[in-house]
Amino acid sequence: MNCLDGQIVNLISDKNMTIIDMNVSGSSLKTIIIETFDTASFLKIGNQLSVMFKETEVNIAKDFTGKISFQNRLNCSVKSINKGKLLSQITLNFHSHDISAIIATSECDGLELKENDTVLALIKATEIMVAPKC
Amino acid sequence: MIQLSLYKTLKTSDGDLPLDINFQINEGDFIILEGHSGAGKSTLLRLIAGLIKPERGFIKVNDNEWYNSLNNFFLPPQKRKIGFVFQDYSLFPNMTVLQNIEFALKNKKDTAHLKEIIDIMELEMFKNRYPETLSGGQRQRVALARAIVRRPSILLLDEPLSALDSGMRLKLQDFLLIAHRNLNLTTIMVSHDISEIFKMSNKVIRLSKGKIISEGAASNVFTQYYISGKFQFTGDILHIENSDVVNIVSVLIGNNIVKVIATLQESESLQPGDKVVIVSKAFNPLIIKLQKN
Repeated sequence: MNCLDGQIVNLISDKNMTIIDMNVSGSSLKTIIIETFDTASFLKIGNQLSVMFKETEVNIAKDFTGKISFQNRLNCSVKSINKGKLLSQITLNFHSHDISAIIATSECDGLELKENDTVLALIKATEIMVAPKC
Repeated sequence: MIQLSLYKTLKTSDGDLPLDINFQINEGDFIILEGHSGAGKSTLLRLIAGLIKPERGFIKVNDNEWYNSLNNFFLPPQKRKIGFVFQDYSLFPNMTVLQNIEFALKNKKDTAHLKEIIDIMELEMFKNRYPETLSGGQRQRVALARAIVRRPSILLLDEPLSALDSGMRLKLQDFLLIAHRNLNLTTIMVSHDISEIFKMSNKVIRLSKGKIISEGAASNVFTQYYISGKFQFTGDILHIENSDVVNIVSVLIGNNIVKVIATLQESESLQPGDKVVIVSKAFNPLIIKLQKN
């Protein structure tokens, strides 16, 4: 899994759910979880979190223009590519952290991905998990 | 609301240990007591039930006093509205399932309530059988049914699921949660299982050497185990198979084998036999209603 460090910048809650806005190495990352301050007291602005998401939930866009509903759009560069028959693992550099993405090899070819390419990593907020940092 | 303050000297192999506990819980709470063996968890349940007499303190259940050392009042256990389930099933072997449950029913005419409990615990098809013909999980369902049919003010559960295999344990957890919610019970259960604590409780009380060392929501008490994903299951790795640029990890969860994709890098620290927790978010599973019959 991908694991980054984040700090809570803003919280918006309804009765049961909270959207957490986090600062991860200067970029904003958002997640939505089924917790509120009443059920998880670590939900406080300023608190440190571990931010976790699966490699297969990281999508990649290149030369992207237009609007898209992915809440998380991270500017990255391609560090390395490991192509398989069906799937490929792309290691991205994000503010000197590694983010790993597993995408279809056909799409890796379609994007004509190569090392040092500038890309957008796209992750839905509903796919990001958090844990309080001990 | 249940308020208590209890003091009792425990005789342990390391000498006398003072049990000194104060807490209050709300109606409808599902409390889990956690702590090492000898911390005083079972003693605390027995003190609440009145099976052991405290040296001093009080127990107040809603507006009724069950115990108060100041005026030397001690309500005997048979007068306390308690349901108690232990690890061993302790059913009457000479009575059928139905007779076992009926035995605990206060008002014998309250057949609607009896039927409700039998339905919740799914015991209809076993009701004329004797305990010795039932599996461990079925017997424990009967024991639970017998405990809750009394409409207890507090349901006390002393590791009721720990003798069951993990598949049966998960199933019994579901029965217990349904009963707890549908009957608006107030439950205090002893458990050591982290995933059980997260699944069942709205409050955890951790005991050590007769004292409360922390209490609160599981996610606050066990922060080192907390991750926000709501789909969490613990299981054992059966095997790991390479496929393309990923590995497919087969994990036994209860009686089901699930498959999870892992990167080659994260597989380096995994091997068959390892205990793992599988986590996903509540947002991605599809939910599909099954047709009856």
